[in-house]
Amino acid sequence: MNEKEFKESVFDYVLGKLSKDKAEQIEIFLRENQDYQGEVDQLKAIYQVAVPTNIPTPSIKMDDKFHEFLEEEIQSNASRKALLVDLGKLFSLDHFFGKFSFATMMLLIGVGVGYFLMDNNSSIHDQLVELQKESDEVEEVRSKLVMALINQPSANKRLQGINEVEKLDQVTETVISALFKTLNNDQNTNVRLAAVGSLSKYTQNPKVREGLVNSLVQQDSPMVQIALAELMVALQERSSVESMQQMLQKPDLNTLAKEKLEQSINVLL
Amino acid sequence: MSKVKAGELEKLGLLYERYKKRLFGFFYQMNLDAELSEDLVQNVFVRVLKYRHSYIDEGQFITWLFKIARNVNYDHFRKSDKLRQVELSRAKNIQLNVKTAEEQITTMEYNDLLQKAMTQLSMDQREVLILSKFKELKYKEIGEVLNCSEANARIKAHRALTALRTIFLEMDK
Repeated sequence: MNEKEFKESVFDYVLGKLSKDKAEQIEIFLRENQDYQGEVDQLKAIYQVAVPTNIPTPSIKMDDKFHEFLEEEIQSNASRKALLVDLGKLFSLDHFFGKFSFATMMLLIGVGVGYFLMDNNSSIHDQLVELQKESDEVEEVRSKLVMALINQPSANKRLQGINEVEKLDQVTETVISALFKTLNNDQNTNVRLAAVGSLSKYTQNPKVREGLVNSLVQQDSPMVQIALAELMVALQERSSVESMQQMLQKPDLNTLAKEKLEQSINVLL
Repeated sequence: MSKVKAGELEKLGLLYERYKKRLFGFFYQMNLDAELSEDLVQNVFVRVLKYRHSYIDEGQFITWLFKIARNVNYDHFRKSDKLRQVELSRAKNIQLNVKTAEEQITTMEYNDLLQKAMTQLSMDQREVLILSKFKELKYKEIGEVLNCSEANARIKAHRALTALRTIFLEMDK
């Protein structure tokens, strides 16, 4: 390597952008031309110190935040996909629900047309009663949709069914029972977790609270156990302490779940 | 990334594990603020997911990722006032460090002085020097990140290094 080539490549050498062979040529040149050595060493040191490689490590908080975000995205993506598929099927007449929803739509259109063709002299009271009837019919259809989805073999559909519950103004005993059936028997942890979330909105109903307490001992998944224990603490449900103590006796209990249960018992007592 | 684009969102976790430290390093060296850098890393992955459909399976994923990182950083400091404030507070901190370092060993003083010299460079110059530090980024990839040619990226890196040396030697007089 001659001086001209050296001068052309020395910055690339300092920046670490030369191939192994070329870097070696620079080093040979430097050994033979000691005058340049000091200058190159200085430039290398400047770059190394100004842009160090030993920087602080990011905290675990960053990982937690990322995984939380990713989990949310996965869930909402799954729900969006399932909703699109179901909507597609819902309006396909080859499908049972298609026929059902088509019939329901026709009924609602009929009611709507009837409403507009109604005698102008009918009283406001009659109109309100009619509207209420329509609204009840929509609720009934939605409840039926929930029940149908919650019993589907696909976990995504069952999740969608649970999400549909949130759109109901009032939940019937049948829907509550179906949610408990899901919470206690569904094979998918995410579906069971969604059921906990959904049921937690109806805890003003004593039967729901009782059902949640009874469900504690039936859960094998640590995530569901933890979610239920947290809910019991939030509800200040002291009657759950016995169930939690019973769970602590299980030999195969997950360490995290065990810690959460012990904490929850301490809070509640 | 192709799998993430195809809908396997959980695969983003693997990409995060693979690149989080490099991204954090990039932001930290640009801004010298660990907490802010963590937030900016998160923003990068939010954008990766949001714009996954625009990813073209050509070239290296890392260049696409650093392009996003660069935009995230620029967007954060978009308001010049905000940027100026950060620059000022950083320079102030470093000046304080230098003051205390005078009573300490020479190496510390030297390091602080160089850190201060880095802050005197433009954002573009700092960026090209930091990107050059990543072994997997050759001038071609750096050019892709910076939206310029390979030759231009090389010239930018050389100029930034020269500027850094000039500022440092001036300060060290």
